[in-house]
Amino acid sequence: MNSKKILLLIFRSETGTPLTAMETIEQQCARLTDQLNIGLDIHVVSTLESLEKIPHLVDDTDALIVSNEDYAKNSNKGAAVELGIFEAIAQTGIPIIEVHERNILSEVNSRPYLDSPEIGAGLVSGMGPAGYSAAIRALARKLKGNAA
Amino acid sequence: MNVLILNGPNLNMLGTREPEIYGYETLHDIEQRCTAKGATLGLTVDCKQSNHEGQLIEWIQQAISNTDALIINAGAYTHTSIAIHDALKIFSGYKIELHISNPHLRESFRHVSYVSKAVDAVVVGLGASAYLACLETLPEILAS
Repeated sequence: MNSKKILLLIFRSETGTPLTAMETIEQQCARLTDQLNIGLDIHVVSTLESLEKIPHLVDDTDALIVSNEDYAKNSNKGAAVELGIFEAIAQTGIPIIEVHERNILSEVNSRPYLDSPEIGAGLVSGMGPAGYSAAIRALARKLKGNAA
Repeated sequence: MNVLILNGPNLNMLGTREPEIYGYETLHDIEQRCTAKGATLGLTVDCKQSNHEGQLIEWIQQAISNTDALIINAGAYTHTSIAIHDALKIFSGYKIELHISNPHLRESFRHVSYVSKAVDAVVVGLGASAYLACLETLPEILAS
């Protein structure tokens, strides 16, 4: 029985070509969270309807990974701000890590997607799909209070 | 596989320096855990720290011939050192920039990183456990 749960939110455009297939990400993350005995939910955010579900999903989780896929750039960000999604996330106080497969910070003037100190997210940028693994490992260690 | 972990200025003060930001673990604790974790992963982990820019550059240059991956927390040199940027560009192994806190959520003078432009990946704001998370993920990265 997993007592702690991570929610992976993937902001993905309905059009365009993602760097990594959703199925690959799901399998990789599920394998790792099984090993670490942590629960995992994955929610793809590509429509307004899927965006509106976020506050409810976040209420039921212990940690959050947010991935705004690079090809989608600022997909849904304006709508998320309007709906108060990020405020709702910030109020939960749960640990949050933003993951980018590509190193967005190697680009001039590039900024994290979650750049609000109130949210206080960590960031993994440029590790490819392994970035999800790094984020899951860091969160699992934090949730379990396990330094080793 | 040989991994070098480089820590820059003021990271020798971990545990006492602004612990509300950087945590209570000392650098010695972190290095010991990294070395032990590396051994379980089949990685040979070497940890070094210096407050001096030139020393960090020397170590990066020396790593070129015998190191597969480099994890660097350049501290405040991150925001000022083109020389470290240039040394990192020469190193052809896998490079991760790491910061315990998230500089992008702090003072604006920490928002610029010369290191980010010269590395493969950036990991910030995950606390001291980021060192371990990076080590654990390195085999997966290098195998892909």
